Amino acid sequence: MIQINEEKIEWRDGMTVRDAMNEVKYSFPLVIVSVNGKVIEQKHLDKHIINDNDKIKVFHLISGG
Amino acid sequence: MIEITINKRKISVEEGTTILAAAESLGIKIPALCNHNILKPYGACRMCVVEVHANGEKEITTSCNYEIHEPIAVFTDSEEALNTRRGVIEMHLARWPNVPAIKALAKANGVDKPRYEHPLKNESKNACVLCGRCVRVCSEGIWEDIITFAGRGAERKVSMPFDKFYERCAGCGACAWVCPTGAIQVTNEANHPVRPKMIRNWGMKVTSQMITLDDQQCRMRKIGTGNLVEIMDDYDLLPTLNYQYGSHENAKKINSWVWQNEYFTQGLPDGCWYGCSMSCAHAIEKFELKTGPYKGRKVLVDGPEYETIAACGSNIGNFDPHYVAELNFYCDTYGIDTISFGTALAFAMECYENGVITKEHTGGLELTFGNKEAACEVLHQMSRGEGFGMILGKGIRNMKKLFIEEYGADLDFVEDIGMENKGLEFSEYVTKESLAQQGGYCMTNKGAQHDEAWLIFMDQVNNQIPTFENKADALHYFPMFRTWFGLVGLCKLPWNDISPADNAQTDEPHKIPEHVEGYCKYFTGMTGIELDSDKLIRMSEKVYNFQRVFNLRLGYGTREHDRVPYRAMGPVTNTEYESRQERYDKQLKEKVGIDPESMSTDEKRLKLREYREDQYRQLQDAVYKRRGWTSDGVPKLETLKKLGIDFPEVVEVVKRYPDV
Amino acid sequence: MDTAKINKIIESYNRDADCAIEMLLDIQDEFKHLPEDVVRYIADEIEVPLGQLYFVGTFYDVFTLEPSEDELPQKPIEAFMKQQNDKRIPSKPDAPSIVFRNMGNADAGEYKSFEKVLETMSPDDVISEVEKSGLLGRCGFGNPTADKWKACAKAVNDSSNPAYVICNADEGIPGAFAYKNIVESDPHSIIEGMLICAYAVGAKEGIIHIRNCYSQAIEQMAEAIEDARAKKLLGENIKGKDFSFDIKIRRGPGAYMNLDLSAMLESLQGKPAIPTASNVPLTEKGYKDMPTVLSCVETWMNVPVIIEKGGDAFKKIGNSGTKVVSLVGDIVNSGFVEVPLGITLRELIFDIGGGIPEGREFKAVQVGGPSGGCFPADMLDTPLDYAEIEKAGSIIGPGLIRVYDNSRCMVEAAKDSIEFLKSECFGKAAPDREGSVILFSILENISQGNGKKEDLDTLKSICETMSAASLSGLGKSAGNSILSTIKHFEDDYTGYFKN
Repeated sequence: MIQINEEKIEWRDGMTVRDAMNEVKYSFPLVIVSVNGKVIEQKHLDKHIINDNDKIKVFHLISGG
Repeated sequence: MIEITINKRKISVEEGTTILAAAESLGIKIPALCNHNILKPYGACRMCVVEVHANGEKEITTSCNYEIHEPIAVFTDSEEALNTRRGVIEMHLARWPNVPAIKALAKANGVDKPRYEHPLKNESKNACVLCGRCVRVCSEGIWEDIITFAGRGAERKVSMPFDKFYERCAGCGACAWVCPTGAIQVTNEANHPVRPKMIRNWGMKVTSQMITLDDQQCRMRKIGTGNLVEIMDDYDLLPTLNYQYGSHENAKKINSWVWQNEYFTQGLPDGCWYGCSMSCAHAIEKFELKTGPYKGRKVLVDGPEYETIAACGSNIGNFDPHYVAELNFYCDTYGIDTISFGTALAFAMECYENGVITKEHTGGLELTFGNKEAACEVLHQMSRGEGFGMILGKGIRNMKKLFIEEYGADLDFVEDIGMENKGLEFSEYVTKESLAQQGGYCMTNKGAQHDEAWLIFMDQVNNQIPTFENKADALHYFPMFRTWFGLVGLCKLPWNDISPADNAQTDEPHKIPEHVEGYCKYFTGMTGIELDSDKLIRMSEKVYNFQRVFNLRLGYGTREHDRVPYRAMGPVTNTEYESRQERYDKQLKEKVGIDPESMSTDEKRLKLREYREDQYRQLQDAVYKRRGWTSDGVPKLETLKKLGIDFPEVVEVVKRYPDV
Repeated sequence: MDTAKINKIIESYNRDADCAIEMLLDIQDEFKHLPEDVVRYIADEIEVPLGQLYFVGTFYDVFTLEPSEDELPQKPIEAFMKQQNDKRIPSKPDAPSIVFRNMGNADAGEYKSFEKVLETMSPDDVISEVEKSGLLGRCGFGNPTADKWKACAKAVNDSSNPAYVICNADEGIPGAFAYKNIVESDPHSIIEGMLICAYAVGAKEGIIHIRNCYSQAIEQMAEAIEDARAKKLLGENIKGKDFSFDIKIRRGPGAYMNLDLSAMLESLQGKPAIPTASNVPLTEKGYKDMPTVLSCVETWMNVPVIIEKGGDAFKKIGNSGTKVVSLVGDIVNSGFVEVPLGITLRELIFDIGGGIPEGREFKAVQVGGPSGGCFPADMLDTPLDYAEIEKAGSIIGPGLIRVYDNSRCMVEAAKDSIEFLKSECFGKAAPDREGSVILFSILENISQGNGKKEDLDTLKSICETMSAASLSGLGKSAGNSILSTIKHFEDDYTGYFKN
């Protein structure tokens, strides 16, 4: 299982950070993402592979046009 | 990724990277004059030449605009590259011998006195060196194309059309900021800022971010606030059918890509603020109207923005973008707020669907969700002061009263679903799962609009403000911070609709600290008065509390007026409860401590309501305390004193209330 | 301001912003200058920045911002050539005639080659024949035409975008009139060449860009296009096949810079002719960022003949075909003439050109116009061939060949060349712009007796810098006249030095 903010989702082999975000529909672009406490740069979100039991924090900045 | 070498050092680069950028990442600085990191490569000064070996051939080429598509070997300082570079710099030095930027380049690259006299030698220190940065930033960055090149060959010069001041220039200063020699000056007429350079330097930070980062962030320049439609839909926050739901399968018919690809015809600065690089206003030209007094005519629709798309779209069950645009146009034409219109109509539609009002009341209009033609018709009636349009036009608060008193509507139901606070219709975000945002909407001075605070992500997604105190702090800082924009007359979007590249490394990234400092600097630059974040908050606090007292004087400023219609807090109907059953059941179990297994939906819904209404009451207590108000929401005398607004008229109003 | 009149002009181009230059040409015609209020009005109506139209108005010689009834000052090219050149020199009786094969021939307009292509050949077959023919681009630097078509066809395949086929007839060397005569004499062959290419690469639209003042050429081409359309050789489903192609005529302002293909594309889009600084070839991203084959009118004339005779046979005509050259200067027969590639300069000058007039001696020949190098008598056996001329330190370019007799000073020749290039230079890039100004200034100094020996090294060094760093072909080849005259005629220079 992966923890992403308050949610828990199933882990799959080869899952990237972006995959996890897509699964919980975190589509807001202004986010700061960290995996197990380490910040992952925006440009690497599509490629960074996550492991089972990883904790992902997707810190959202403020929205509301 | 492509493997290349630069000066025999191996480096892996993404395809399309320029040689200049690749070298920079290795710490190799290739000299360049016309290049600028917020502008596309230009290839005019030719100083950045390097030697490239590719496919068994060697060439001297500029590095700023050479995109890497295959493995190459680059030599930045080969004899030929150096000689060529020096020859080019020598030409610049011969023509502009006293420009510091050119002198520095000459010195750093071993170019002494030129070997010849340049017939067009210009001895000025601030000479224009024809790098084109000004023309390019005005075109690529600000989209105004005011400055241009003119003339051919050696006659080439930077100019405004017909060699005179072009009245469309707003003096945004971007050209002066990118100019390497000071050839362009912004004259400081108009309102005489005390420290104009400070304003320009901090403003250009935002402009640079807009030019280089917006495409990967909120796409304000391409689509504006409309980028939020699909995002809100993803997070279950898109008001749908009078806020009953937060998403809809048809939301994709009105999402940002539909507007960008099929409707918007302008990506131009629309004159909201001339010279603004965010340029977020977008419009539809030659839009043919299907209804109303201008039916058949082709008009310009100024919008739609996110709020309008939600209010005149998903909230009233309309997923036909044409009608969103049509309603946008006519609301604008009639001078009616699209949010109030949409939210009020959504209320009327739900009333109609539930038999609270009938065709008899609506004069024959079938106000079912999604009836876009009826929506237009009621708007036209509103403008004429006729029929049901006249009734709708009085807003939700007055409609509720009418429906209850004269149509026999069930008071509780209508109060629950009538999405207004202090008489203002809610703006377009579903707040059911964010207690903080319920406060953000309803503990406001002007009514249910998110202008004061938008805390949904902080609260619901980040879980950043878990305690009442945390929420109260947020409901202090943000309303005070955001009120300030109105006080000084500045747009708030450059605060957080664009984020600096290094914002993630700051302590409080959600506040966008660099931009907060920037706004303080605009103030100081304009007035000469020093301002920091704390002083800024204090400025607003005075006004905010004054506004609260103003409301009190009109009979509105107490606790009961900060009430939230239950539709904004939780599921009003069983259908709503069941649409999010898992989440609500979980909350009952974890937060309320009861087992939902054996309960009916009715029972669960009521228990949940009890819990949530109590939560809001506790939030009110915490917020009023934080703001220095009584438990009835009245500013205390000591607060007024501390803020220096304990004027006699103010005290006169406040002292009528207990515990002040 | 008579907005009705101006609206009429705008409407005549379907309000297409790309035709901004044509609109301004009509305005210049009407008002004898470009009035500011008219230009502003047009900018608003067609939605282009006012600055762009102002830049166009100050870039091309054909426009003036102030009203003037006087004749515009003599254009530099005419000063360079010293004479107009609208005369055709008769070719030798057995000389191959490709470009002018149909001149005065009523059979023109048969499109036999195109029909052969349509009925019996695949696009690959067509490209293969062009490759076998060894045809090199006739506009400037002699790049293999087949390579262009191949690259374009590939880009069309890779991107699923249609290609554009463009013919440049803007007369790179105004005053040479070769292009004018080609268009007027045989417009159908141009159309045919473009049709064949369109078929081979997958194009739907073509453009023929003709110099605005060649009104007869424009008229004749328009007639030829109508003719072809009537015969179902242009338009949708040509000859009933699944192949559609049509051609538009666009009028050009006339500029030496339009010899540079990427610059020419700019002027086709209503902008000043400034070469783009990109290493992505036009065959991949050309007109409107689409795959484009852009060639000059002379290149297109050759294509139907390649198909008719076959690539192998074409290769044997001269050295892969002929070249239309303009012979000017100190020569008995001046004018334009079609000669087989591979002909020696000696034959060209003394046989066809009739030699040097007034009993003088030959001194030098400058091959390639003002961007070309100057050759002395001992190089007269150099063949007129792209590779050979390049080896010799020059270019064939637009085919302008200027002869100098022994009364001429080669320093003056180099100075005239640079003066022309300086005035035609587009101005964006520093080495091209500053370099040509500086070179001219040094040459002027020398020719006024104020030069010194070291200047020769300085000149060479600047030419080297320009050759490596310039953005444009104009800049890169600007040094040819200087380097070649220093190499072959150093005495002319040293004659000016005091010691």
